Amino acid sequence: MLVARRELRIVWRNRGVTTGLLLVAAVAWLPAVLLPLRAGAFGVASFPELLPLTIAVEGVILPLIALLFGAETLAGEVEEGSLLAIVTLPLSRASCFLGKLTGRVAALVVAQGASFGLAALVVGFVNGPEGLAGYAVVQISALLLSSACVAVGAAIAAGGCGRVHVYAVSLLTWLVLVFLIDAVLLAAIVALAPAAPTQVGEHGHSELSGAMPLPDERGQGLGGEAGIDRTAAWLLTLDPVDLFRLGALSAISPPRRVGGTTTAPTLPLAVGWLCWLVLPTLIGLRRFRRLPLR
Amino acid sequence: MSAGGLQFEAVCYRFLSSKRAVADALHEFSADCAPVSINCMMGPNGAGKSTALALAAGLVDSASGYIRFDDSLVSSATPPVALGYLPQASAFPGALTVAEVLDFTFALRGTTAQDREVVMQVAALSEVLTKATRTLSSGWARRLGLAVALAPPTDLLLLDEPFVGLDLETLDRVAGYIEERCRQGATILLASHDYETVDRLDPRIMVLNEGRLLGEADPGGPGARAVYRQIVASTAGAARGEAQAAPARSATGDERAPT
Repeated sequence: MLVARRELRIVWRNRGVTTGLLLVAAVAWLPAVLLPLRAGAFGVASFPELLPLTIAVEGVILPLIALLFGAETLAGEVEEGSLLAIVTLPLSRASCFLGKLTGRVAALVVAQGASFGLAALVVGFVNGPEGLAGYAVVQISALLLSSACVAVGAAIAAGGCGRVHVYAVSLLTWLVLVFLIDAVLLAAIVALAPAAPTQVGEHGHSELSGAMPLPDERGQGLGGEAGIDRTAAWLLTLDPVDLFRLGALSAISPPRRVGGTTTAPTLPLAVGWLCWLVLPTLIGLRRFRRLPLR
Repeated sequence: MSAGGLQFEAVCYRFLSSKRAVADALHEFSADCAPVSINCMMGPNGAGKSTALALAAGLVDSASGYIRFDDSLVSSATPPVALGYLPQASAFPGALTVAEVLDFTFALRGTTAQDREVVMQVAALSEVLTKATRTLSSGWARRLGLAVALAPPTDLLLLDEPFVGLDLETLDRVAGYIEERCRQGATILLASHDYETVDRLDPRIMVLNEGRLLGEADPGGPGARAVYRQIVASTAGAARGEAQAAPARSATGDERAPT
């Protein structure tokens, strides 16, 4: 906790970091303010109007901010040499890494919670609470996405390279997570679904589900609509940004029932977030334990 | 095999100076620092003194050989627990104040209020306590580094050039406190070029060059500068002797060792 508190102090007093956190506030407020302007009116959009744009913007901007924010967990202190003053204290490297990571995640959670919480208050006050629950779930997904990206950024920085190198790798990771994996996963899902035009429209909601083989009676297995939903949901766990979108979208659209089973992807979401939070942390820990510090 | 203290046993450490080339910072380096003693490494720049200290602190791992402190192996995975380390350049997060850095250190070490008081007097940091560390001059940063390194309780003190950048009064207080810490039971290994202050501490002297231990001298000798010159001269003499013997052996084809 001492390390986490120290990290929080460093974060709040760092101008670059403060700018990043202001960007988070901008992500929270801009969609709410800009949407009514499109219709030529001043004010704030209602939750149902706001959600699609918020999901789209958060899915792109938040990973970038969180990756760079996570990379700064170690990159700065490694480059300046100030990490020596911590690792030579009676504190394991694991505690040091986890403490710093906790401080960073806490700072981002507070900034994100405050920005979006305030935005929700204003939107709810002006337009009523309809859609507030969906907005809350989207923001919880966004917090999970930010936390996962902070952990990924810290794992990148735990290699001990200089700031420029670490930021370059973080940017590349952002491109991969937000654009490349997304495209590859879409291609994989399309490829998984052999053409079955007679089913299109019969089972309906998913663009991809019509291309899948016929479902069995209970809608189970890869061959059914529930099957393709499940397969797609599991494939989407490979990318935290898609996981965020999956969680956000399943929160704002009512769960479908196919052949008696619900298609809400709770298990893939839970497993996906667990993996994206734990694995980068473990990789970062392993790298930091072996990091030569001089 | 040993009765505590700090031991280096045939330690090798290599810098990866480029993608392929490596440079030996320490080569088969062996040294023994008795428990509760003051030891000083001397030698020219690049001799391997700072590397030896970093290895003993568990900041880097050796390519081969062992380092032990109080009979426990030292590595980056198992650094000495009660360690005080002063790096060559003291650096702290610029956003933190001096007081915050000290409070963090004291809290993690479990330094008593009485010891805090003593350390604060030695480093004389009271007038910069509220300043951010990024605004400190190099001398003040050095004092802060010393306060962090010397804060008790520690069993092993590794100090890289502890007397550089200090004014005379502070230097006296720091040297006195290092002696005090040894009397309290700490094993101390320092690297320094300040012969005068080293003489005051009367340590066991180890002379290094090119990653090797050239020679050692017990406390109570003729002084650090004289010891250093003696060891360097005798090593150079031995090297000249070897160089003269080698062509002779080569010329006669005689493989026997020279007498």
